Amino acid sequence: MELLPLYLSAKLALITTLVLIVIAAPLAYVLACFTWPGKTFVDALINLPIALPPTVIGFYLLCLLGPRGPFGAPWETLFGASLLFTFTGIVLACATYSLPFAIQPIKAAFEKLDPRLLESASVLGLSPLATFFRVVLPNSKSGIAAAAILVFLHSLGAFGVILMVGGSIPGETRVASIAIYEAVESFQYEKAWLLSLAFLPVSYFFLLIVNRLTRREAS
Amino acid sequence: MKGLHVRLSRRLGKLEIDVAFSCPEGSTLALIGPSGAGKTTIIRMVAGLERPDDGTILFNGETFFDQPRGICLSTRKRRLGYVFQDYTLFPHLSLFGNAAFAAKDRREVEDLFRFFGLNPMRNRRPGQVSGGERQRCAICQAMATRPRLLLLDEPFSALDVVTRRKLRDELKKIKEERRLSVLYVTHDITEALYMADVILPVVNGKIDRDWLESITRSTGSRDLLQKAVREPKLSLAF
Repeated sequence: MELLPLYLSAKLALITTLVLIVIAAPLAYVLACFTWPGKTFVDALINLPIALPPTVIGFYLLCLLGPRGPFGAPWETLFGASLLFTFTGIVLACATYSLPFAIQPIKAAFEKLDPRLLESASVLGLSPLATFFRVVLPNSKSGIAAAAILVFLHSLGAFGVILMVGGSIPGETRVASIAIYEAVESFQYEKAWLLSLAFLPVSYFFLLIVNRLTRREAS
Repeated sequence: MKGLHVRLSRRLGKLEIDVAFSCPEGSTLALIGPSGAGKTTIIRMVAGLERPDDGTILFNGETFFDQPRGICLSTRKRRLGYVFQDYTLFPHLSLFGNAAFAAKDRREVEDLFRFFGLNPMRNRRPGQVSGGERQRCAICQAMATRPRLLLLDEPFSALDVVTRRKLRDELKKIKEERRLSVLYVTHDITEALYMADVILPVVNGKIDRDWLESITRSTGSRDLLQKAVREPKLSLAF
């Protein structure tokens, strides 16, 4: 069995998860615990990847990250290399695509927090930032873990977005989902079977953990 | 201008809160009245957890809130202690961790723990101790920040009579030691008489002296009424 696509998928999922948790936790805090003008619009914008087809997101990202794109052009000036068809490019694409899957469970966990804990923190003189690190995060561990697993699984199975932004470069952007698609296209069903089988126990195991975490959060 | 000086109004659905009172520095002012009278909302506004529609709140010359001048100091800048009705403690921390959460000096927390007899359960989480122990810890947490003003919202309502009496004495003693100004919400008139230097009867969001007199008569209790009159430190705030 060809292991490189599986390794790339795992690496992509892991890095995307780490990046997204760091970004999503403060964003979810601002969305869940504060009232500010335009919040509804920002919330809807963050959730847009859920509603859009992956190829559409991929196309927009292609335009954004391309050598003439508003993000791709300065990147190329700074680092001397394009973002398209690179591993960094597919990490960015995957993070954009999976952002709502990170935000939603964390936001739900923050919204479930007893508001008096936040009031108590402010009475005790804590700034909103200190409250985030000392009160909000320690009391939302299950929600954050559930978000991390969902993002990991979602990134593991990402296909359309990665194909649009990264193509299929062996050892760089040819992750397992793309390798499976190509194996089927070239009638290599045994290879497709083996790669697909590798996904099954991993996804099932992590979903069991998510269910457990969700139950704990609810109780 | 020393002490707490409050004049505030706020409309909450059918309830219209409109009160004005002062509490001299180092004194305890008890807000008493039936449930739903607006007592908790009043101390929440003093704490900055809710914003009045209009009015001013001054403490020891510092402006906490002044609607005409557009001043509204954030809760954390008011530097006060607040013990919530259901004694909110952080569930992820031990009792000691809770009390030392925002403490100026950990030795002070040690002293408070000794004073309130909390040392045997200092490493337990709030969910693993009794209501009385949680209550003591909440008071330690508030005191450890060295507040200038202590706000207590029905702090003993969920406790049995014996624990309530013991805690009440402990609180009174430590309050006198530190010469703290205290704003105290209760619906228990005997408790208010025991704890307070100044009593503020609040009914339907307004100060209502008649309610205090009628309630003291119907409970009893001439004794109670007489105590209210005889209590040397007691005065009615209007």
